[in-house]
Amino acid sequence: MASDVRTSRGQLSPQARFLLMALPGALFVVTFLILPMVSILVFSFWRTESYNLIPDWNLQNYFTIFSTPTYLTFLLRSVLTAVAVSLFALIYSWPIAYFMAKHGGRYRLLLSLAVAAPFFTGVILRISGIQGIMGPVGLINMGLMNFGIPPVEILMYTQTASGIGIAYLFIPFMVTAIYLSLLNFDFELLEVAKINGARAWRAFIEITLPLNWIGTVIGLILVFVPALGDSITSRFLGGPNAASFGQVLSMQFGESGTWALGSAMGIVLFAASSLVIYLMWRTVNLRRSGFTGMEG
Amino acid sequence: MRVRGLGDLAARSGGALLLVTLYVFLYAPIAYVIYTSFQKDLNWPFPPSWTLTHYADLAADRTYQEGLVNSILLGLGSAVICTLFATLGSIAVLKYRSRWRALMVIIYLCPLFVADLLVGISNLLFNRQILNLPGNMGSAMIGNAVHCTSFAFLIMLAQLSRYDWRLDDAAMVFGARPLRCFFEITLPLIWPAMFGAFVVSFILAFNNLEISFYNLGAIPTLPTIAWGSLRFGLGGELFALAALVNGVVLAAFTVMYLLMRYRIVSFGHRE
Amino acid sequence: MADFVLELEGVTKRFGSVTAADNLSLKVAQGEFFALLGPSGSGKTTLLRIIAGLELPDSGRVLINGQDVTTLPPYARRVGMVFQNFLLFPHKTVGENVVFPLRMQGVPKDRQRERLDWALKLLRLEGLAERYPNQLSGGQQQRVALARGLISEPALLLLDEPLANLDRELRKEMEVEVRRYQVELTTPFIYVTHNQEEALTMSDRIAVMSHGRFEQVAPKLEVYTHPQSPFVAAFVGHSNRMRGRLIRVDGEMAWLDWNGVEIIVPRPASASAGSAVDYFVKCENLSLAGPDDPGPALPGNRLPGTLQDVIFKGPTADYLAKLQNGAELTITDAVSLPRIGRGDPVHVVWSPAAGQCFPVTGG
Repeated sequence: MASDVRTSRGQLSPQARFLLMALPGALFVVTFLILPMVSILVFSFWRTESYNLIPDWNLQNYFTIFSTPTYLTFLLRSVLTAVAVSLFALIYSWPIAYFMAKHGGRYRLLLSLAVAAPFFTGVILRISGIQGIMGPVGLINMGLMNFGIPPVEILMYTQTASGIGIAYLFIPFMVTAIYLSLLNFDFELLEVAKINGARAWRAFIEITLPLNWIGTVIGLILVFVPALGDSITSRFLGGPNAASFGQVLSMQFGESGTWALGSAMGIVLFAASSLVIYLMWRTVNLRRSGFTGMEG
Repeated sequence: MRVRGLGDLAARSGGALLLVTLYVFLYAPIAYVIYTSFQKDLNWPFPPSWTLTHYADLAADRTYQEGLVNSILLGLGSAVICTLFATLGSIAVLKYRSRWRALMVIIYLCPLFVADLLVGISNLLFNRQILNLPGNMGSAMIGNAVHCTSFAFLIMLAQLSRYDWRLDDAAMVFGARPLRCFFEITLPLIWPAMFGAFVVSFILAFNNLEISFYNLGAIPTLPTIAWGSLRFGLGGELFALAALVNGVVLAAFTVMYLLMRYRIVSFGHRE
Repeated sequence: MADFVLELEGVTKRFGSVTAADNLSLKVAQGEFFALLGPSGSGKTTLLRIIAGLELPDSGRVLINGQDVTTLPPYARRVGMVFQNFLLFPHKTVGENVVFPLRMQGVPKDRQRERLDWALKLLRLEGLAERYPNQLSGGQQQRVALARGLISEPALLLLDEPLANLDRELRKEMEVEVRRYQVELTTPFIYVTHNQEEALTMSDRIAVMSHGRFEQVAPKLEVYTHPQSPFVAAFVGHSNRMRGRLIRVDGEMAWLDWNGVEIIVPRPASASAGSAVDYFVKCENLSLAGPDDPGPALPGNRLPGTLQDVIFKGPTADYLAKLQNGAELTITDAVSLPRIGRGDPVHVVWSPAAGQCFPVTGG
């Protein structure tokens, strides 16, 4: 009681201040992300009739998804592509982010902004740029044909082409996530490791990677989630043989107007990404991450 | 010693080389877009036949100007909303010990786990079925802001994790009320982080296709115009516009580089 | 005007299961230099933060100049404070940092300038007003923090381990300076430290803290020479501890069986034969004698042993003597002793009243 009275006389308790500051944003996310997601979960058990959702509870939508071989193929293809792209991005981004954070000097902000700047150009234009360069009638293949060399078939409406496009779009997220993590990393710890006899790669495995693992996992999530949900890149670069799950999902909200089925596909997509994120998060040990923000 | 120096040098130049490949990878399509914007034939612009017609068309067509204005509005609105929430949230999480802290962090990071496409369609159905709301600018702003809140939050968290909150204690002991303390001490020290969060959110919302497309209704923005014109092949005006935007970005980067080169502004870097 | 600048009445603060301040009461008068001395985790910084208003006590009252400020927020208390890591505002110049409290109080500009000149002169910071904190040395930063704490003529100045981050030489120098400012200004200083030398050098009175409680609050000499609890006896100064059981008691005296060696100790109140006690003697109260030196006539302790090592400390040295019961004693004595070396037989001599004897609690 006594402390309540004091609280009312000008000094809010830290707990109250915390909630006052953190709650608005949390409520915002709950209202405009979690509630809509819950609503499509509900709709996924309904059915659609001439562009209207009918609350007629059934499991037909899920049955359709899991009994249609093409949908399952698309889902599997999307998951495998997303995993492959994430792993490639991981291996490719680490040395780049490391170089920027350690050797960027006073230009490192500029170097990191230059990684993010392609986002100033719309996705569609950038993809059409990629198409212009490596598509069937693009710069590379037409150039090769000019010299009488057969075109690189792997770049012509294939899963690989689609994967390259996805990597192109989302690698900047991975580089930035690792870079931001490394900004708070004390590179002198590596000197300690080296003085104690660790070779460079050993010091990396023992010190650098564990202490930046949260940032790395966040980078993986930032690449994996949009890669899994991709519907645009595969449409442009993948062609008919590399259609993705996101593509058929968005189709339910376009021409066919089967929202209930689309909602169910959305839930399946979300479940698939949640599962992978859960697996990745299991590798995080907050106590050993050096992440001081959460220790208390 | 020499050998270790060489190894270090190799690692360093290897990193630099990879960074260069990344830049080439990232900017080649953009360079292609800029190049094409000056070409008569958009589909096979070789050998070059230079023209400025696309720029003239762009200047004449009100649709693109409207789209640009809408995109900027959408970007600004979303960026303001999510920077505000992310700033408050990140300060709360870093400054106060609370048993709700882990939960709050998870909620703020939730949008990362949901693909754009899902944010778009779930908001579409939620607005239509439950709020009975047709597509509008506000819904699109909110949808994008939700998505960007996580990004803004992560950026703030990374930049503020070394901020010493006891500076606020010091200011309070010397007579600064909480609001005064915020404007005198906290804000001047955290604005670079807020600015970074704002810029990133702005860019993401400005060019967002999937959230905007499902929630804007008939309001055109640049990405939705591009999407809509795909049926007939992308218009040259879009290439011209992208080239102009990149010109502005390049100019801004050049200015930043010069300011850093001659040490006029350090942009937060301390030697 | 109240008699005391600062009064604490039964201040209690708990963090979960830890009691950081346990029913603490205290009065500090104008002109006093008061030290809160204790190991880390003893609650001294929490107490300081309660006085500053940065923590709210669970119960009890805080009065400044007779006014109850318990529930006032820090910005309404007008106390000065010097923080452990200085906490200078990195984006403000020295001048802006120092003048900050006056600006917050809405003091007119010309008065601000006047006070700034005064503070910079007092702390020998003239010419540095335009610098930024990261352009200053540690000692200069320390003085800026002091100037900022003192500029508004606060009712009292709180100092939270202000010298902990300075190197030894600078610390010695600053100890003298801080004391000088306090004497000059007569503002009461509440000085938190874990360093007993700092507390003993600078303060008038010392409160020794442990586990959120005051072990002893007394003038510094008394704390040093007459510790009231085993904790104070062990923590202040460098002491030898001898634990054993009393064999017999006789008036003010008692005989202690310390690992098979019999020594005479002052009799602790309410102790009788068979009680377990701790006997503390400061190292400098022991002295060394050659085996052939005649002992003093008074009843005293004289234990034979061998010299293990000599640690040279400048004007004095620490002598380590190993007694026949295997225990070691440290003796601080003048270096100009007759030349004795490692392995020589020595006698350790002291008067029983030079030490304090306490019953062993909980055992």
